[in-house]
Amino acid sequence: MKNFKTSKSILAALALTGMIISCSDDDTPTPEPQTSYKDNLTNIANNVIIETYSDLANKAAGLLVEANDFKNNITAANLDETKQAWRSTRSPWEQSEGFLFGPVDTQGIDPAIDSWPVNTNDMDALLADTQNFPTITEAIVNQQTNEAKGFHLIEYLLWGIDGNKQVGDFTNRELEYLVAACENLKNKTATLKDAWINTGGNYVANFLNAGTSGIYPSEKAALEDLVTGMITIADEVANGKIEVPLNGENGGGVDPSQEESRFSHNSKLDFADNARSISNAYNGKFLTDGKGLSEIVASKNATLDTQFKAEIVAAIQAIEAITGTFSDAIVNNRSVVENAQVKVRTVQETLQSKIKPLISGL
Amino acid sequence: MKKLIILLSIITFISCQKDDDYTPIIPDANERTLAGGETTIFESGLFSFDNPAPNLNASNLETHLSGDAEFEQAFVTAPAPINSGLGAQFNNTSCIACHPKDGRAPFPQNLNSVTGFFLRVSIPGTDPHGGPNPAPGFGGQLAQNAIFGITPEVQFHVSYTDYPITFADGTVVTLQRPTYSISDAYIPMPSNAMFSPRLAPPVYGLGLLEAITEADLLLKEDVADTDNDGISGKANYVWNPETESMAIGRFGWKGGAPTVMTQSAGAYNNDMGITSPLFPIESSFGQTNGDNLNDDPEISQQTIDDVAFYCRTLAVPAARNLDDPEVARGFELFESAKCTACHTPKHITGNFSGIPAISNQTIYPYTDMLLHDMGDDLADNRPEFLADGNEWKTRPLWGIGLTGIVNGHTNFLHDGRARNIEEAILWHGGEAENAKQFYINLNKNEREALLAFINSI
Repeated sequence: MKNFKTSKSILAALALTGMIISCSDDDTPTPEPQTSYKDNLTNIANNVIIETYSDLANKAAGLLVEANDFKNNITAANLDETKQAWRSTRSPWEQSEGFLFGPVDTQGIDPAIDSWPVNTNDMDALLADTQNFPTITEAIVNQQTNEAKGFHLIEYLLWGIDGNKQVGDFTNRELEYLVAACENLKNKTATLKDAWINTGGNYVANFLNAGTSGIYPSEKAALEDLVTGMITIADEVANGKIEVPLNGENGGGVDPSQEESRFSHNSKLDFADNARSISNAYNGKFLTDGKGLSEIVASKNATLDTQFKAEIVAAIQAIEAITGTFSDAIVNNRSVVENAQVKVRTVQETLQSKIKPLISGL
Repeated sequence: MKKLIILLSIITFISCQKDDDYTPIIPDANERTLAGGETTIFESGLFSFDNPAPNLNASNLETHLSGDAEFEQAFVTAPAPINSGLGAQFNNTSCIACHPKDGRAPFPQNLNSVTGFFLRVSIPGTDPHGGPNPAPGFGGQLAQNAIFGITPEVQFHVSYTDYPITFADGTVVTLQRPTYSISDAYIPMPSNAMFSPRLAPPVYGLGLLEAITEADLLLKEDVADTDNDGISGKANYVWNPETESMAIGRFGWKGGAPTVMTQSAGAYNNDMGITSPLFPIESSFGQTNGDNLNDDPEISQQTIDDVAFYCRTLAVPAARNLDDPEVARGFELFESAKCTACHTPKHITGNFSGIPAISNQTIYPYTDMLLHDMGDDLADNRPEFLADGNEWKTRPLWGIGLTGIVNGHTNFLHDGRARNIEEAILWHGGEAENAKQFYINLNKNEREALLAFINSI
């Protein structure tokens, strides 16, 4: 689900900021910035983005192993392990949504692995059609529409519509579909990683060589897109993923059916991991800690850097402070959910109104 | 930095600027930078196409953002609690899937997966309103996908032959000439069926194009080429289902749709099999592989209103580097080649009811919104209202140079056959033959300058 709602409006304010700067400026050429941001871009691209995708690909491979184990040995323990592997795979994916651009978008991988809602009718029809599809293979799953494969279809198969599917509820066909869908997810995530690495599609070169070659005419332009990616996910979490279930489409009232990961009740972790994706890129830290955007912001405005880091932490804490399931909280514990939404919006607003202009002004 | 601030603050820049210390290399380069007038956004990266116009008022912005959310919704097979009604026949499952990041679809590697590509179809004759005559059993558009268990109308195929073009300086560029075919038709395809390949275009700036007054567009019309410049320009007149009357055609590759609303509702209907109050009948109605459900319309008027509003109010990305000497030289060549005879740089929009942000704007879309004979090489040989088999509507060029960064490809023209802007130029023929020959006769530096200009707008 990708509901962008509200607050791209601040882009208008950005233009206004530019006007004010311009008039206070004179017409003499401003010197080009002396600082290179190559280290920051290199660390974010190699050690945050690629490492996140690498983790995702590894976890997806692990999910396939667990799904196969479960298919071959249908026990409650193996079901739990498969569910846990799904959550473990989901985590780096959600942590990649702060940089949901490049091959994940242009190669159609995002819709192929994370479309929502699930087309349960097509899924059921494929499960039932043993005549034309005696065996459900990865190739067959790959041919289905995006809404009949990927994370949420796997989630639906594992948890069931009410989240309480029992080990005895699985048919052989469902297990076949489960394994095939996991294999498809594994393939897609491997393709995504390969598209970025320098021994593959080398999309990373755009960030490593920004200002020299590739899609970016300057290092600053690459940094700006990183910030816009963060704004996009903060907007989506606050104004889409939280807002629509909490208040309905167009403010129509609470609507639990709009919750994205509702079968598994993984939504809170999804949101927190989305916030972590902002943290990771901003701090330049995933498995290792290196230069991110933080050092650049701090060099211009140390107070802002400190403030923003605290805002990200506060957002993650506010999401994690929602007790019970998100499905329950949007009905019975709304103020806590609203607080989390406010905290994520704060992150978004600081990115839009302070960090983006700072980067654009480098 | 200097350049960015100029871009960010062009209005103020002009007002701050003293007349005596500024000598533009190209007249009105500053105005041309603001391609979408006050709807212009100063983004030139991965997020250049999917921004709300910065001058929307608060209530208009709210509607835009509602439309944004709807534009991203994926539809599924009925009955379903959310987004029900996909198909039965369809090309894709969401608006955004065909218009990624509100930009241009790539030519697909697999034509029969969910993609932004399809073939229109019709047989000789016209429908009651003078439009394409639907092919019995197939309608006006072919679907290569269907909900599970239903046979798709057809499968698509393409093959290519080389088409070398030699520049005056001896350089050879080899174009790929596509030949499309179908297979696996669920019933026999009429032997006289005509096909037209289409690839989904970007959706920003559409409201501005809709807000250009009809009188303005007709000023450029020259159906009989009375000025004898070899370039005619013809307005299409098409059926408007909103008003149930004929209207000037503005959208679609042959100008077959009069409004953003009709285009959008038509796309829901034909591309996704989603019915709306404007098009309440399934695209596959009456077909054996159609949908016999009584669930129409599948989306509300509110949804289609919001989506049309969204497409009408997306920001246009600013032109870039127009003061660069090579770009300036490229613009001179663009004019000398008479590209501007059809790719009209400037328009001023009229009043658009309910959306002040797109009203009375000075814009630089580089289109006359009219039909032109583009030659036999590009012809689809399938008429659409007044557009004959050789005619296509002039495409706007604003933002075209950002396609590569936003969408990761540079597949241009109605079916994406051109793999870059140069190939797109070389496919021009018919009324644009002289302009193409002008380009072919340029030297390498001049060609690069002209391309640099197109990539800057």
